[in-house]
Amino acid sequence: MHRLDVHQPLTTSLLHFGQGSRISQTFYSHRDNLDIVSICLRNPDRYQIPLQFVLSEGKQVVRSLDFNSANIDFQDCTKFQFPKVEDSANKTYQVEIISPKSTDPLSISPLILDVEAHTGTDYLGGVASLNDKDTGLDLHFKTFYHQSIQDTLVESLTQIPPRILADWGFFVFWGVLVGLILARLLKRNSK
Amino acid sequence: MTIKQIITSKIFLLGLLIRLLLMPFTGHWDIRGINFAVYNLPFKGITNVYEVASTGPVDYAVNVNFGRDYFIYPPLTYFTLGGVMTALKPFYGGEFVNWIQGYGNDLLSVITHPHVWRYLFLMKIPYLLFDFLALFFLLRFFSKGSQQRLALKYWWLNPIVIYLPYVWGQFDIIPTALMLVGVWLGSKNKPYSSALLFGLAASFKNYPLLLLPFLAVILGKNLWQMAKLFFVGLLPFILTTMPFWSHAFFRGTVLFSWQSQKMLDFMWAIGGFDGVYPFFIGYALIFLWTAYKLRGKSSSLATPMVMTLLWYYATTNFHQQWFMWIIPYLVIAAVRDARLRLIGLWVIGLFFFRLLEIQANVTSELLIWLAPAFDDLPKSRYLLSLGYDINRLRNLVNSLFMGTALFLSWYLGRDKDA
Repeated sequence: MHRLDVHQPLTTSLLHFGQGSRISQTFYSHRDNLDIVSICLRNPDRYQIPLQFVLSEGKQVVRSLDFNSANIDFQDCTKFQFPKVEDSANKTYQVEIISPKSTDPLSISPLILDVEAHTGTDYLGGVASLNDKDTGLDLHFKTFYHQSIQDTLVESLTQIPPRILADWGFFVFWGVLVGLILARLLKRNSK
Repeated sequence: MTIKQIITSKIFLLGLLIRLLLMPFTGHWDIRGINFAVYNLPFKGITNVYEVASTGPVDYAVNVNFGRDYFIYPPLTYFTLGGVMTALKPFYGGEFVNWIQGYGNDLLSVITHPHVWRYLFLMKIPYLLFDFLALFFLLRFFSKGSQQRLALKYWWLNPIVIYLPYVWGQFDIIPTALMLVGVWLGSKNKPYSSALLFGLAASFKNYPLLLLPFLAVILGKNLWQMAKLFFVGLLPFILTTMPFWSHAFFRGTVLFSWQSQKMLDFMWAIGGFDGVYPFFIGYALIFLWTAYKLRGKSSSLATPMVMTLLWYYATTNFHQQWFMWIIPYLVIAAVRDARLRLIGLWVIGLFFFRLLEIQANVTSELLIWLAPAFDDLPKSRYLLSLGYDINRLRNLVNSLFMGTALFLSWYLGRDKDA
């Protein structure tokens, strides 16, 4: 399964990102097996621009993917999935979307995509940059790590008892209520 | 059936048990969003939530977690839910304020908060009250005990009636229950009480205002009484909203919210820059048919309303929770006519199939409060898209909805005493 690690929510901000530009976000990975970064690109005019996704740690490129903006629309966010980075826990990464400069001699102005961003810089694990300049915003992004279904089940089930104990007063009330109704139902059934 | 007979019946106990088992553990972010607006009254003493929405800072509290879309309901919604929340405030506890405001970008702390199951349970308690109100009046539509027992089963164990308020967490059960009481009063020849209830229901969600003209035409003995009934129906809505009319945010988002005008999204061009709205073509046809055929027939009061709602679902990209509005009348029809019961199952199947393919995250995601991993499961619409083009599938389901709506409208219309 792909489990959520970092989530920087959406606000109303948009960053504009054209050909020949690079937009990036640094983030702190809390878990091993980082395997997806989700970024919300928007392409309302359905441009077809070659793009590159690059994940790096410091100056070292860890993963990269080539894609085309033709696959981007204006509804869902784009999940960039790559072979898991096994030792990703407690490391800072940079994710970049790079758009090469147009080689079309007839092109007179850069084609623009939008990237959804988060107003403010309250994400403490990193910053968003446009062409290596701080944007004063964070991107709206998510990162995921890979976890086996067995580990997910064990993790989820073991969390339940302590959560019940943390609000035992409510669960006593709720349990009595459910128990009373159940008893009444069973009593009526046995008649 | 008396109240005692209802609440001691096996069906009632079973339905109540299902509701109680679901209430603490499931919910859409919507329920937190709605209560983010609601909590202003009991916890901060603010009586004008629209002021909060229009002047609040663009920060986590107002914009990130919820957006201003949760401030679009008429004020009675916030006062009613806020009133219940005030009564239950000791059970919520002070930490509720922090939970409802969120913990910055730490969504996991919201989902796994130690009191989250208690909060979900408490936030759904008002729904239980109106659910029972709807049940009580639904049974009043029938005189035979056997029909009442059937109606009890069809409403109280109805998967849609259980799913929308208790699994999803939507409050459409409130206007649905009030409008049902209004229709019942109308069928008992109490036109003014009926109109008042329509207006009260419209003070939670605007749709009963669309249905008010039918009430006026059917129950009004002459043009003057029709006008009076229409005005009496508007009165609760006017009185409860008037104090906020001067507020620009209220006017822009509540009185003329984009959601209440979704039926205008579907238009046929007729040349030049003009067009016609299919919903209103149907609305006019139903209205004229009502004026021609149903005047004075109080027992047929529900018929044109059901037809209008069906046509609305057929021609509008409706939000799934709005389907609650029509359920009581479909239950009444199914109880009265055994031939409709199989069709009722078809409608329920179509409802849940549509849920699987919409964008609203309303399937496995509703269980995130039980275990956050549910949010990480592949979305149902994605899984469906692996098998078939999801856009075509959506259009296909919409078409089936339209066909079903047309059939049911024809069926109800041909029996003028339905």
